[in-house]
Amino acid sequence: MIVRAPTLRPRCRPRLTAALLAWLLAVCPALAAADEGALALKVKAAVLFNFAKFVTWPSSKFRSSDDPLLLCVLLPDALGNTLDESVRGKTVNGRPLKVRRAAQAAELRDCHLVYSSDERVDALTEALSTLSGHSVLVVHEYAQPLRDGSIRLLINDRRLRFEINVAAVEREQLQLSSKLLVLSDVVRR
Amino acid sequence: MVKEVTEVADSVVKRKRAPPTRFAVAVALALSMPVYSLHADHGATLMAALPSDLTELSLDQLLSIEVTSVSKRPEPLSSAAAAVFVLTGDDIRRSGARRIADVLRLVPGLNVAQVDARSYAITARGFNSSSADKLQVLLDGRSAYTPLTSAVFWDVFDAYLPDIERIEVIRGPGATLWGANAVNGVINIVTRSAADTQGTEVSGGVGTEERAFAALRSGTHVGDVGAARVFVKSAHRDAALMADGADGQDGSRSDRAGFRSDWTLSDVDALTVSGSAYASRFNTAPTATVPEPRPTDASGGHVLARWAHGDGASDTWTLQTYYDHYQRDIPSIYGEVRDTLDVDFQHRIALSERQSLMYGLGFRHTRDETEAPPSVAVVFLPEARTLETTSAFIQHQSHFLDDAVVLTLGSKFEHNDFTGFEIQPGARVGWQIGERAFTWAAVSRAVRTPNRLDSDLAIFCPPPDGFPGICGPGLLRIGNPDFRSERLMAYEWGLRLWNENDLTADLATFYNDYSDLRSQEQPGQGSAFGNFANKNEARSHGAELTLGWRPRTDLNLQAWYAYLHIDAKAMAGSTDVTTAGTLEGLSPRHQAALRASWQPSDRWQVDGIVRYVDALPAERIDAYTELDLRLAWRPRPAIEVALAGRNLLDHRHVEFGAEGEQKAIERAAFIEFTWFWP
Repeated sequence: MIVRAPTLRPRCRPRLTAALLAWLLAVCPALAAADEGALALKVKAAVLFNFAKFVTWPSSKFRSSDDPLLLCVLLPDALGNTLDESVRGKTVNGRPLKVRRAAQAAELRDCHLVYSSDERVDALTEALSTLSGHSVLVVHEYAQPLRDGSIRLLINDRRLRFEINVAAVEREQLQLSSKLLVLSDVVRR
Repeated sequence: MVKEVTEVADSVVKRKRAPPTRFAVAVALALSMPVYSLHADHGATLMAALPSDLTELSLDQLLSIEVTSVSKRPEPLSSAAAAVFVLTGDDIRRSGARRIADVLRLVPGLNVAQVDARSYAITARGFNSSSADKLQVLLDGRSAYTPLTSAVFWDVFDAYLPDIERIEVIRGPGATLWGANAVNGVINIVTRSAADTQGTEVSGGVGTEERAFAALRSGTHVGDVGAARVFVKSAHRDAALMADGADGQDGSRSDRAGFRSDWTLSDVDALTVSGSAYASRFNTAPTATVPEPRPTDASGGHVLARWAHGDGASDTWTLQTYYDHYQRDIPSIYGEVRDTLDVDFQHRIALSERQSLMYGLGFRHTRDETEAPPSVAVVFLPEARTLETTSAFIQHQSHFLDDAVVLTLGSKFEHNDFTGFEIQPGARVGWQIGERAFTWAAVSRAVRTPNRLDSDLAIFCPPPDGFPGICGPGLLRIGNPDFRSERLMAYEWGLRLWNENDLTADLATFYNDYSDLRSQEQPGQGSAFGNFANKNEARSHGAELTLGWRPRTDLNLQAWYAYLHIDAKAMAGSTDVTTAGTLEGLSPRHQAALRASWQPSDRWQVDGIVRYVDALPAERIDAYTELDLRLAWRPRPAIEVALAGRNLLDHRHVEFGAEGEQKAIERAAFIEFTWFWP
């Protein structure tokens, strides 16, 4: 017959528990929320940079071979500054990247990529129709897929996802790398 | 596994006196599959290393970052105070592995050994066996180890591999969070949300060992509120070889189906419901005891529901429950039916910007019915048993010195039906040194609580004579109802360095002090098998070094080396003279691997790994070096063709198993076609 657990265990257990509890009580200050949005913005900016890498625009969108690639943000939006920092000094296919901001979509027609996080469907639809036909890759975050708008960003399971609207992409004469298609959630035809 | 036990039963019949430890090992081998409890989202804190400039990351890496972390404090891998490694879904898809067990060969420091055509011995930091009992393994929050032996039935532990989002592996104790059995490591497998697995994939292929396989996975959105997917897969596997090259006759067929659905209940509430079912049939070679063997059958399934609540702000909680059923029938050896119900709650609170608190409560109820004599040789007394485990944990994390230092203190409190209360505290501290270095240290206590094998195992010796000199007629009990928990005190230290050019180095070292390890004492008169007791102890130390380098965006290189030294001995008063040698000699002292992933274009992927595993002196198994390769071609986005070769350097080699009963693993190749429909 084997003797049961040595007496050491039962003796030290309550003491350890009490010490842990006391320590926990001592270190619990008031609840406060932590800043979170910064990481999401950085990830979005990096994803937009990747879109720029994997999309081919018609040559008519560039005046010369070293014409910059314009990444644009429809105001009001917080992403612009993060985008500035993220793409500063970087190039895609030899083209420098420039970030532009504007409150009116009409000012963004020569952009290659336009990002909008506008949640008002009226404003968004208007912007999309303004940019339509100008070979602009529009990236939006509206809660539903839209008829126009090439790519929709969404957050699912705490991670960033994107859907590609193939019909809109084709209308805008953009070519997407299969890399994007493979990683996208839904490809609408 | 079947084979080993059958052989042991044979040796009994032939009145060959089998060494007691060998028997214990063999019986343990016989009983290896899934059940138990978990904490759904602990893995959430382990993410891929984040460089300061995220544009350096590939798109799929970006998509794997938790932008709204549960903790509000996303913890990059580079600042986790533990020996952590994460395999991404991409790593898994590109590995050419067709089973979870083979995927784990990519993980630095894990020891993965294939025993025969179906079973594996897998452990971290030593003590390997095909019923290795010191590892916690979870699949989407469901514990995979069986309360029968605390081992994982690797032969039926599977999933639709392309749906796996990541596998997080912690080497070393994780008991503070994960509880009993997380003694030497934790393997946490997380599948992708149903929203991320839209469209349909159909794949199929043929090969030399993976004779034929096919799978279908289809996912869809359900309105605006949810998404769901289903999969079915089936595989025919060829047998392994006997050590002399003869047919091992242990081929198999496995079928599996499953679903997962994810629902958005509100802005802050999400519900996951998943389920699976499987059935496998494994052939067995004829033996002296079982001249006309019936195949082994294993089947089971589960349903799981998890409700996660969190506004992405200061506090989040998850409530999870699952029911799991399995049955396993190894004719004339052992049979088992098990039902498990598990409920788990955990709550995480950000106390302030610098402090967070996490606690959890868990309850598990598991009931088994094992087959009674005289139809089987391996029995459990009592034949049916219900076991309940209640657990709680609390963990506090605080940041100091401008967040450079993070201190994590916590403990698990667990009550089980064998030993009563168990406490498993741990302390971890991490220190970020400048921009490019991180060091950490940890002290933890962990226990491996008793299972049915430790406590209740018996062998049936048929009347009228039993097996003279081995056991009298009737039941010979080997299990010990007074078996206590095996204990570990672990001391760890680690260092991570990285530079601007994507060169990373990760070093983890440990000193482990085990006591009360299972021993098998000398038998009494007229019997060959003594009882289990807690009279072995061991000290181990080792180090794991992982180097990563990304010289170009299309090329990833990784090299790792693991060293392990174990000193085991019987404690005072023990008569066990064999187990210590087995503990020392069944884990390789040196392991190393070199892996390369190259993507020359959008259409081509080339992957390879060379692995070296040192000898296992306890069973006279030689060191081996093997090479796995995979080449994938995507002529169009919707079609992929992959050609894979495994164990390419040798026609056959032995990885594990009792001397004289070993199976050889063959060189293998297969081709797989996959179609994708959006």
